[in-house]
Amino acid sequence: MGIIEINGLSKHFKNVKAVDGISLNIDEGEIFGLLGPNGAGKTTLISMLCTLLDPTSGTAAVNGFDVVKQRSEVRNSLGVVFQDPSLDEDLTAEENMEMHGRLYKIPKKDRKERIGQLLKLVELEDKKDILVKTFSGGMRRRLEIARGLLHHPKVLILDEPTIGLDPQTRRHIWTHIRQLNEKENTTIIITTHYMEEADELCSRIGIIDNGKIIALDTPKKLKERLKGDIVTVEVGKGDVSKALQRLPFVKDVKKEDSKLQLQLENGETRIPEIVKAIEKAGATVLSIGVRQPALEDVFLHFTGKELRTEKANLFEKHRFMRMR
Amino acid sequence: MQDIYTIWLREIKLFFRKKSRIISSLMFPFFWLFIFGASFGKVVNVQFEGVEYMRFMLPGVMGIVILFQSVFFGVSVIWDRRFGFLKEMLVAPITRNSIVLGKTLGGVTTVIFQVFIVWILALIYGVKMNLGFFTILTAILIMFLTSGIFVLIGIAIASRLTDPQGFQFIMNLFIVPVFFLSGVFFPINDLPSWISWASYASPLTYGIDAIRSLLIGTSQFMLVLDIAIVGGLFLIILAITDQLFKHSPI
Repeated sequence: MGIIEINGLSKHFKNVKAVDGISLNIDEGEIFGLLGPNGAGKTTLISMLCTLLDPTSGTAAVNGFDVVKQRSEVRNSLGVVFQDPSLDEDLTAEENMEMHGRLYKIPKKDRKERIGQLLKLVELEDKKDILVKTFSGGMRRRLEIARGLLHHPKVLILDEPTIGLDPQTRRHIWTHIRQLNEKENTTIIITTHYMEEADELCSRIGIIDNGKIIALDTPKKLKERLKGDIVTVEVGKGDVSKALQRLPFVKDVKKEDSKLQLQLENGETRIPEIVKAIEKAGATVLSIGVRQPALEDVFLHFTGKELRTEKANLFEKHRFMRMR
Repeated sequence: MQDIYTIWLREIKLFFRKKSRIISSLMFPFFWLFIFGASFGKVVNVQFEGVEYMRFMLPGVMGIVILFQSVFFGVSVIWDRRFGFLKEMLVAPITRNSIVLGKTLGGVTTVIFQVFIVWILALIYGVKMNLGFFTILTAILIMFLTSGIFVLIGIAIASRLTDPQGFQFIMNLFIVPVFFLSGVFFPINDLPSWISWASYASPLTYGIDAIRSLLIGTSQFMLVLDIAIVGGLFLIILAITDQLFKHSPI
């Protein structure tokens, strides 16, 4: 019995299959990462879990409650931090928390105490009487996370929690997420398109693309699936990917801009042979390097495309600014 | 009940936080009543049904406050959606009906508060009116229902729109005819017959008529008829708005 059970869940918009037959179990106490590019179906999946969208087909249960038939129970079991901000800017931090506590019918005494605790946890207790309007992006996020936890949810959903934030604030928020997973034993589902975020935080990762889960495992095991090393070669002129593919020890060749990524075992010892093969094909080596596979490579391996973090980052930042 | 109270409470807090907006919203009726009403009544020396102009106009100006403030309250739904707070309400364990009811009651409360200010200013100015306990109570009921109708219309339109400017535009198209057709400045039975028929179609006509009959003692229709029409319309529009809001975009 998982805290989240998803069976053949689909959501179709006109002719787009945003979520296409996903089945997934998440255990209590996990930090589960949903990793995928923009438009992969992460947010649609989350919206169905928190009862904002009805599934086209399939079922999903949160804490044993069906997301269509037992909405109210599901909503009580969930804390949600949306991708876009959802605070009332004309209220203070404490008033936002207060409002949430009332909406979830937390008795007054508990409410006061818990609000105090949580604001302390996210280091906003000295800002509690200040209008949210004046908060920075990072402060808003922290407040939203604290608010999501107010009613002791079994599961906290964080949809792109660090989007548009600077690296320092991002690390800060990771610390908070890890802390509350330990302290409150809250199951956490986090969607992201930042590799390092998923790598750093998650106990398990589901890679989602075109509405389907295409890989599901711990970050470590996912990386182990790409046995061996990654050798990155930059070549002057000419197409040498075919020549390299013919080498018996090379498992896979992927082209990334002007660079080639080779997947093979014992990378260091193979470098001379690779250089020879390239020169034989009439090209010159500009640079060559060996490294351990990162989650990014895993993603590339399964989806055949890069996450394009930087571009996505810029795009999201604009979008984020617009929402302000 | 607690859900409705929570939503109501937020609206009240937000309203009283914006003091400048309250003052600016009261300038308009203030000018109508004390500058236009007082001087026009003196200059032309009109009386309608034996009532001096200033007295005749007071319920009309209350009606204007109800109309404008109620209708534009709906834009708060659009801002809630823009700033994302709507989502916070939608994923909370409360029904969408209670969101509509809470917001409507919140809007109506703020509108009645503003009508009270006009009312009190008129009393201070010395406008003569009836002020029995039941008169005041019934007048508040009428204000509640009339304001409720327009708040709900605003919410209904706002639950279909995502753009505040679009909302302003549509609401202006709606407000102007209602404003001129509802017997604010003159009794509607003196109008050309096709216009008076249009007046019968405006809910505000009955609201103003009822307030006028209570406070000033002159009216077009029977008070019971006014109350029945306004009350009936309120319920119908509540049901429609509930449905529209249920299927509104997130």
